[in-house]
Order: sequence, then structure tokens, then C-alpha cells
Amino acid sequence: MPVFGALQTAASGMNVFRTWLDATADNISNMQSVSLTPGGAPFKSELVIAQANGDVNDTANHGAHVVEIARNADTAHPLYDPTHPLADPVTGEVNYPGVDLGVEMVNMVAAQRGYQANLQSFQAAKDAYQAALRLGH
Amino acid sequence: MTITPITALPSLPSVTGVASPTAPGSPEAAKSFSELVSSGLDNVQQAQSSADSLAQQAATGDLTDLHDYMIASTQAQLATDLTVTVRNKAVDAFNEIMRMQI
Repeated sequence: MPVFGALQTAASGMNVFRTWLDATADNISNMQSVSLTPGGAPFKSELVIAQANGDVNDTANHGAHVVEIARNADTAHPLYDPTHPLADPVTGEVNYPGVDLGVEMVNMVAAQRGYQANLQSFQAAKDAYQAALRLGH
Repeated sequence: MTITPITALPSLPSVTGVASPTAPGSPEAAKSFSELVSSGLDNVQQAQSSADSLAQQAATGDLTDLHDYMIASTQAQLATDLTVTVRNKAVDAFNEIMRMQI
């Protein structure tokens, strides 16, 4: 483990939660995004998948990283609107995304709190290192 | 009412996993103080230059993660503080020896 290892560990956590925050913002912004092809599948919400660095039982590697940003399997929300230019010509329905705003808001708060927790552990590590340096004074 | 006598404490298990100390003069301990200081300065230089490049990215708007710059600058600051503290200690020790009456 390097000298300032706790700082790097907190930084990896910040990256994960920043990515999650970005994903929730993207999901909320695309709540009404329909497909450009009439009757096509709409936007599917993004799902950030994080994993520990190294094996789960590995004590040599610290921190976490984002493995992939997957697409959620949420079902589209069809709305009958035959005058819409992107409506299905047969059924007259427009497929709206199945993004749940409530779920996204909860995810946003969780991501925000996770980011803040990593900031706090970074601050604690920094304070500890500075206190150790003050030993010499 | 009977009072139960105090029994002897069970013996502690032996400590495992502690590495035996390396003998002085072994390759690990052979690094001189000047080598340690110069390798420490190399680390400081590395931390400073990475903080510098991130600061440049922040100024040009290419920085994707704001915290990356703050982390790099904090690490550079801590590394510099550590080097300055070690150097001050060495200079103090030298001055103390120079003041010694013979």
C-alpha cells in the first residue's frame, strides 16, 4: 500500500459515485425521450455497476471501480397519441421510457450521500496525515 | 454461600505473522540518508507535476472530475510537507552536532 493509500481509496469511491450521479442525471433528463423511429423502443435507464478493486477477499487492493454502465430492462410506457409524428402507424401509440422518477430521485440522494461519505473519509485521512507530520514540530 | 476461587488466566496464544527484523547491513537497510531524501524528492516532483497537469486541465476546461485535481494537489501538498519535515529534522540534528563542545 502506498504512503497516502487512503486518499487513493477515497478517490476511487468518489469516481464511482460521481458516475452514478451522472447516470441518474442522464436518466432524469431522458424521462420523455422517445425513439426516432415510429413505434420504436424508447430510452432505457442507465444502471452503474461497481465492483471492488481486486477480489472481494483481497486485502492488498483497495477501492472500487465502475465495471460497466448497463441498460435497465424497464418496460416502455405506451401512450395513445395517433397525431404524434413518432406514433406507431398501426396502434397509434408512442412508447415513452419506463424511467421511474421516484426511483431516480432516491438513487440520486444515495449517490450524493455516497460521494459525501467518500469526501469525509478523504478529509479524515488528510487530517490524520497532517497530524502525523505535526509530531515532528 | 461458597465463593468460587479465582483461577489462573489462560496462557495467551503466541503471536504469528510478525516478520523478523532485518539485520543492519542487509540490502534493505543499506540505503543512505541522501538516497532516501532524493527518492523522496522524486516522489514529490511526480506528485507536483501530476497536480500541475490537472490544474492546467481545470483551467482549459478539459477536467472531467473536479475531485481529481483536489486529490492530486492535496497529495502533492502532503508529500511536500513530509519532505520539508524530514529535511528540517536532518538540519536540526546537524546543527545540534555542530554546536557540540569538544
